[in-house]
Amino acid sequence: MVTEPFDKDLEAAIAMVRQGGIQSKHPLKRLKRNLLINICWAIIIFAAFFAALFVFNDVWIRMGILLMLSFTLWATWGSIRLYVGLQPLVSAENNVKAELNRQYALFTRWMKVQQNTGLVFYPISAATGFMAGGMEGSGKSVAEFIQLPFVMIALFVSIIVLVPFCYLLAKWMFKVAFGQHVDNMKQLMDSLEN
Amino acid sequence: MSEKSQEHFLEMVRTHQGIIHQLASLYADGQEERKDIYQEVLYQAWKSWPKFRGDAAFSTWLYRLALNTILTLQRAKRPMAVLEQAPDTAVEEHLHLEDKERLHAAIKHLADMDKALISLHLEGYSNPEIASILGMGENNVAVRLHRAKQQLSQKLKRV
Repeated sequence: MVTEPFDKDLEAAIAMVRQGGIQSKHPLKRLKRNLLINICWAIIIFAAFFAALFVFNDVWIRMGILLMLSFTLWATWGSIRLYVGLQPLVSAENNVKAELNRQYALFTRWMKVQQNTGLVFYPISAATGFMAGGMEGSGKSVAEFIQLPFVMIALFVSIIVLVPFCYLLAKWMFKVAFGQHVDNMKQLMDSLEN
Repeated sequence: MSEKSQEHFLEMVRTHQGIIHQLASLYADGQEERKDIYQEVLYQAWKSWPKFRGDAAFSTWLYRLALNTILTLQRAKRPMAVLEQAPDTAVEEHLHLEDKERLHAAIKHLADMDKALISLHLEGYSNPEIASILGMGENNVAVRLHRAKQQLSQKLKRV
């Protein structure tokens, strides 16, 4: 079936290899780039939280910031491990099934990192921000601030709303970026089984 | 990579460019997507070339790499088993074409994994070899090939 075709587009692509101008648009490469951007942002956020630690004197605010620093470290560590282990090239050694499994696992692992961050990091960040903002705005300490009417209710409601919202937002963002691609791979994996 | 190795790679790719052309034609919708597939497969082959030790034939290596690349590219959503659902006009357009082109058009309407099976089969790969490239059981390959051939035969009869 394979003949010797003459296809000017294929010839042009081969010429690009010779000139060193050929580029990849593979989703694995995009994933690796996204991970790097994510790690850079995490470092910036970590530095900002670290600086905030010295700005606020209140023990509760500091505890919130320390908690966020821990989560940032945890999430960043997960991203770094994924980044280092991510081989962005398609394997010529794996069979189709093994390669689909490998890539599917990478994308779903990234999805879990994103969703866990959404689930844990953003709500704590929002709660700490709420307390810090309230404290600064009212000129009271956290202990005094939370005694104000409705403050605890407002804090509780904001956390109740933010946790599922951030989780679903992270899920939606992943779906927009890679959802269809992951679904396609899953379908192909299933079709190898049936 | 040394210039000699680069020249060797380009020579091998030119000799076996039919594999890339054939798979891209089967999986791409339109010229732009075909060009993207050419570039992606060549990029991946180029980057993996230093690891090619010649344990398998270059054609088998390139076939596996091209399939792995194409099937894991982010492409537009397509129905998985479209043969029955494909509009007849899509195939009827090819009524005037030669047998080989009619066959190619019919294969293009198969589900992604069946396209891989049939193209490997037509390339002359044995069922155990196809099973090894795709990661399927040999029995599964035989069953799926039989089904895919039936689908192709029905479609070709209708045109």
